Amino acid sequence: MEAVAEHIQEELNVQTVFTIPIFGGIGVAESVVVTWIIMGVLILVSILLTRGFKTRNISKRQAAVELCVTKLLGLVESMLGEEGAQYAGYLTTVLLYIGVANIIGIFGFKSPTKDLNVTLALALMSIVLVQAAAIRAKGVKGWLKGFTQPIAVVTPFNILDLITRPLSLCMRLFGNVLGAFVIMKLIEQVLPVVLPAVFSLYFDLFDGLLQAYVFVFLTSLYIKEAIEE
Amino acid sequence: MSNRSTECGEAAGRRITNEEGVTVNYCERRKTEVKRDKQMLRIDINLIFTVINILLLALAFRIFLFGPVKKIIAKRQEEADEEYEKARVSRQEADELKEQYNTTLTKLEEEKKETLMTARKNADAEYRRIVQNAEDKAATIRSDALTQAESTRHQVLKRAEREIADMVLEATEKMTGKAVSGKSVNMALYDEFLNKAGDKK
Repeated sequence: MEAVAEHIQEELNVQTVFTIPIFGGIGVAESVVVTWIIMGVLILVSILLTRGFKTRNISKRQAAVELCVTKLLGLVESMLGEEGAQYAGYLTTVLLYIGVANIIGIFGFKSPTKDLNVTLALALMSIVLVQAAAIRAKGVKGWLKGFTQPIAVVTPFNILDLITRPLSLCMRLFGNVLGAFVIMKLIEQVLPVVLPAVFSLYFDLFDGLLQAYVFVFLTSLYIKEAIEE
Repeated sequence: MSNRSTECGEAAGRRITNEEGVTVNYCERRKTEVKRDKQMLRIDINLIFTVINILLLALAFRIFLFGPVKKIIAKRQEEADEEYEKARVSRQEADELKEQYNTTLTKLEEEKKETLMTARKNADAEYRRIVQNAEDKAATIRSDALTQAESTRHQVLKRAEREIADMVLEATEKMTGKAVSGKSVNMALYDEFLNKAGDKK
């Protein structure tokens, strides 16, 4: 049991892969390196998939890519509403990134979403995007006024939202990935055959993709709420 | 924290050039075993790296995935619109042509009818004229024939009268046995007789 605990602990630790020797050394974490790998793969796949697109007599590959991209963007756009549709590109990127990051453990990498840096970065970007969208839609004055809506009494809570929302986004994702990982390790200890495969379907695949969806869904919800009058 | 990272990072940095990350991980773990609970929740410069990564990925997706797909769909839409427009124009032209043909056809039909009617009228007139001609000719022929027949009869009659007169004269000469004298006087007598006989008829 001691070994299990140590193994889990080790997996959960955020390792520094290498250090950039400037400013007294900048440690680049494993999550960042894995993110680079994910980025590389995603970009490479994108380039390969979108090669030689035609307007007629399209290949099955093109049809599939068009369908998937349109559906994904459509899904996010439908959550954002008409006015927020311009942010669909970024949020779809986040959806794809978190989705891949959550399930990349299957391929032997350590999920970047197990690093608080990553989930916090995503959450901070989300809340910045929400506020920026609000300012763009309503102007600085309108945005500031939005804190006193619907009544002045709730102003402190609205301001508190600026902290709690990203915190909840960050912790939900982090906690889910962490929890799923710990549970999977424990299940593997109890019975190393068949059983982990079944649970892996839920914890590694379903929950991973679900959390990506939840993250994007909530961010869209916040944006939609922020930009409408 | 940065001091720890530096120590380990240097060690890791040296090793990662030759080996995989696993070896590095072990190095890191051994060095940080004591403070690992802290490291699990570390927040540092990697947050900034992640932000940059995500923004880069979003940009890359826009350039390499969403952009091309949206562009090709827009282009296809454009082409489809063009095709529709072309088809619409063609159909309009075809409709116009059809209308023209219909008008021409109707005109032709009318002309045909008119021509036929005129022809029939002409034919009728011609027919009537011919028949009239024929009738006229037939009437002329008939009347001519009648006139001729009359004149012939008249001539035959005249000749017969003369022959009878001669026969009577001859018979009388034979009966009397002598030549009738004063032939001219006697001839008048016969004529009278004959006239009476003719009247009796």
